Amino acid sequence: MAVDFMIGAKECSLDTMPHATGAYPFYFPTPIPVYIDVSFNYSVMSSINAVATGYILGFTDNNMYPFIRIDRQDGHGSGYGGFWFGLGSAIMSQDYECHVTKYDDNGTKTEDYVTQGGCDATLWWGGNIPNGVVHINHSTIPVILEDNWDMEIYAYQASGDVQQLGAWQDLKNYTSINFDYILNAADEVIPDGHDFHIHIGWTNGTWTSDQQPPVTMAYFQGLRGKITSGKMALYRMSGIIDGKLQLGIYSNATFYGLETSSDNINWNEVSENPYTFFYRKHFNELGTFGYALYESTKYIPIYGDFEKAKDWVDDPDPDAPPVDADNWDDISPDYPPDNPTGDPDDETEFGEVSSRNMFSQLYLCNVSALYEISNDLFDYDVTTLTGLWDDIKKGLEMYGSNPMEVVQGLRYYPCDLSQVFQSVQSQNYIYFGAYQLQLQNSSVLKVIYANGYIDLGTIAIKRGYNDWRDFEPYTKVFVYLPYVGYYPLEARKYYGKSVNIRYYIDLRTGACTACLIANGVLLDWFDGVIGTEMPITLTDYSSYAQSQLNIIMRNAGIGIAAEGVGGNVIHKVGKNAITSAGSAAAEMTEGSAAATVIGTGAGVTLGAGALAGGIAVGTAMKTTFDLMRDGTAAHTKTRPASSSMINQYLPQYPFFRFEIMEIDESAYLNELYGRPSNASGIIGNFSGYLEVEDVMLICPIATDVERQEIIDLLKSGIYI
Amino acid sequence: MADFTVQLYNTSSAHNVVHKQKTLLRTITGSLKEDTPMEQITMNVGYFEDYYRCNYAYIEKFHRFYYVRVLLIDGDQVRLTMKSDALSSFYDGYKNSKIIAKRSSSNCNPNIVDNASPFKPQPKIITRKANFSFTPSSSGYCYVLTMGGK
Repeated sequence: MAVDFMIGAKECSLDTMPHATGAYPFYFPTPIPVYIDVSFNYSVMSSINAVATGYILGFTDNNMYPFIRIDRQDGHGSGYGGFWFGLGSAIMSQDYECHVTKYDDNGTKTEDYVTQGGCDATLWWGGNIPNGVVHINHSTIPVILEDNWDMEIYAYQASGDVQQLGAWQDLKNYTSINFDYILNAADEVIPDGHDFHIHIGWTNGTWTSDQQPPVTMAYFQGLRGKITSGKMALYRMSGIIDGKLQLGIYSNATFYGLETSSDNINWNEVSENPYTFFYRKHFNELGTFGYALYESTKYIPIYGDFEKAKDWVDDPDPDAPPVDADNWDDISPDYPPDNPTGDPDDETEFGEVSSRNMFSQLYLCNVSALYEISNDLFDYDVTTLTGLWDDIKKGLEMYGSNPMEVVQGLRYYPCDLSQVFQSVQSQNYIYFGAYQLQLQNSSVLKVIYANGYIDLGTIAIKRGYNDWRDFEPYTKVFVYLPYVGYYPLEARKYYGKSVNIRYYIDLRTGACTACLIANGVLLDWFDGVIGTEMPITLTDYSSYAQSQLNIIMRNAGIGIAAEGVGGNVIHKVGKNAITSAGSAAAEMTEGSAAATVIGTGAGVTLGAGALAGGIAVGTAMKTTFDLMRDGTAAHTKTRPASSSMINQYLPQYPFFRFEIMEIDESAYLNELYGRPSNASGIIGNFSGYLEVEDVMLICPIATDVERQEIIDLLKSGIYI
Repeated sequence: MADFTVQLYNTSSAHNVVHKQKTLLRTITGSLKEDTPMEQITMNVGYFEDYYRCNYAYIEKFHRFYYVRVLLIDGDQVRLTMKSDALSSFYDGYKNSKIIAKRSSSNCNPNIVDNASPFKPQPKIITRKANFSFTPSSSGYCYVLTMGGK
């Protein structure tokens, strides 16, 4: 194709440039200056007797589309020259300037003639020429025939209709003339918005009027445009108006182009609202006409009446979906719900312990403090009859109770808890009930808030094969967590992630929950017992033994029952547990930790994450002395279960275990049989073994039999 | 029909191989005495020594490769029964056809399970331990004494 001129980067030929009948890429919203780069080199041409051809490069629209019509002339006769430049017919003359300039060899502009009022073009504006063309007349620009002269056109306009030109006559030659039309398409600005394109075919209705219809039978099939802000809705006009079925437009939006078409090829501006989309063919045609309404590009709702359309458009909630629209099912994908399952939870938020210790206190002790406490407990000078016991006896006389019974428990943890719990207070005394025991050589940390967790560490989980073998059932992943147990995991949840292992501890029961957290999200958690219960000299040793044996990890089973003779029930856990009135017993089930009954007195409820429930013990505990005196013996029955003390023998570090099914693959498998593919492409892009799932065979010269043979072979496997 | 050339080959490639390995035995010229479909051609040719090796042919006029079955009619003539090899003949024509591949040597998806892969009976066990752990000791505040009281 011979290139005669350029529009921006587009190469154009006088011989092949068609008449424009559709949309062009030059969209110029209003009002901005419009520039299009057109360089036009026109060398010597021979005389031509030909019908003039015109090239409409613009488009009919509410916006401005500059267009250029190149008019070749053969030098015969007088009249019009050069080119035709057109904009909207409503362009005001002052919005247009035609400069004829001259540049020197260095590209510096040396002369600049502004045509009077934009040369002859101004005479054509304001509607004098229905087709709105600009005509540059040779007579007003005599320098146009000389070398190095350029013509620059600056056009400013906001609106107007560019209408299609028809053929015209006259051709002229131009010699050694360069035309540079400074219309820069790079300045175009297309606003953001939603493009929509609706096909409107037929819809059901009844024609009841036999009034004379318009002469022209037509129906609009398409509606398109761009909505840049606000909302727009269509609504069906009721009845048949003057032989027309219509859709109305209600909007608070800004449009960028609104056009209709009867053939989806030629588009025209929507000139009236409501706009007609159906005419009946014959004026005396009555009855029910079957017609269907369907839409292509989604987004624009169509309502049955104006009121519904208005309600939705005027809804102060800009995001309210048009659920009442007749085409809601079609456009609903364009209105996705905002996270119907809740807010995004990209990172798990953990809670905190806010409860404070009221009637019992927690003391974090080191060995020296415990030695001192236990020694003081037995401090009694038999000679002087003084010491702690002496005080205790006095207390007994005074209060009639045994302050030793307030010792509720002692547990050992496999870490320094002062690094875990920060809300503590250091002091050198503890209270036995109301009795303050001063520590001379050591101190304890009294727990104010038992709020803290152990961040054990982070480990990365990586795939082994990076293919299907990494997942169940071909690869199984297990995790061992100290003091918790050994559990299977869903491998797919952990691959490619760094897993943080965190322990939450219940200091009162020794229970713990180990959490597996990946990328800030809690993926799995498992319960266990991390606190090793230590027997207290004056507590029920049998109770301790029972509780230790009754600690159920994940293979818990039968509860331990201890019954006293004569109805003195020590405690009884399990399904037959005796409770105080109104308290529920903890069911001993698989995987639950036992309720460990420690304390005495009413209302000591043990509850922990590992426990299915707490047992409120209302019966006073018996001391070992009492048991022995009563001749009772606790008996236990349980299957062997691990205790937290025994867990100290097991690994103190977590580990992950992968059980991987290994393939016994032949070395020739891929070469002879390939591997699963599901790839799409053309046959020529494959090599080696190829087995086809489906094929759209293109094979022009093969017979039907041969084509089927090819298909059969492709589906059974070929070698390329 | 005018004479046409037949190239006689020996091929060891299977039927489902597109680009067959073949060895040219000889080139003969002949013509069809009667109407015959291009996919199935039977022709008698003069005896040639290595007739028994001929199992493949190409007829340029028909733009086709053929599988050949040789029958020795008598001492002077050999009858060639030929059936078109569509897979090899028209590859340049159908290689631009769109497909969805089920299995492929060149374009495979590693995330699709391959049921053609047998497994060893015993799984491999891999253990990965963390480089962090609890550190039970008697130092530090590792005991919790629970007391009723103030």
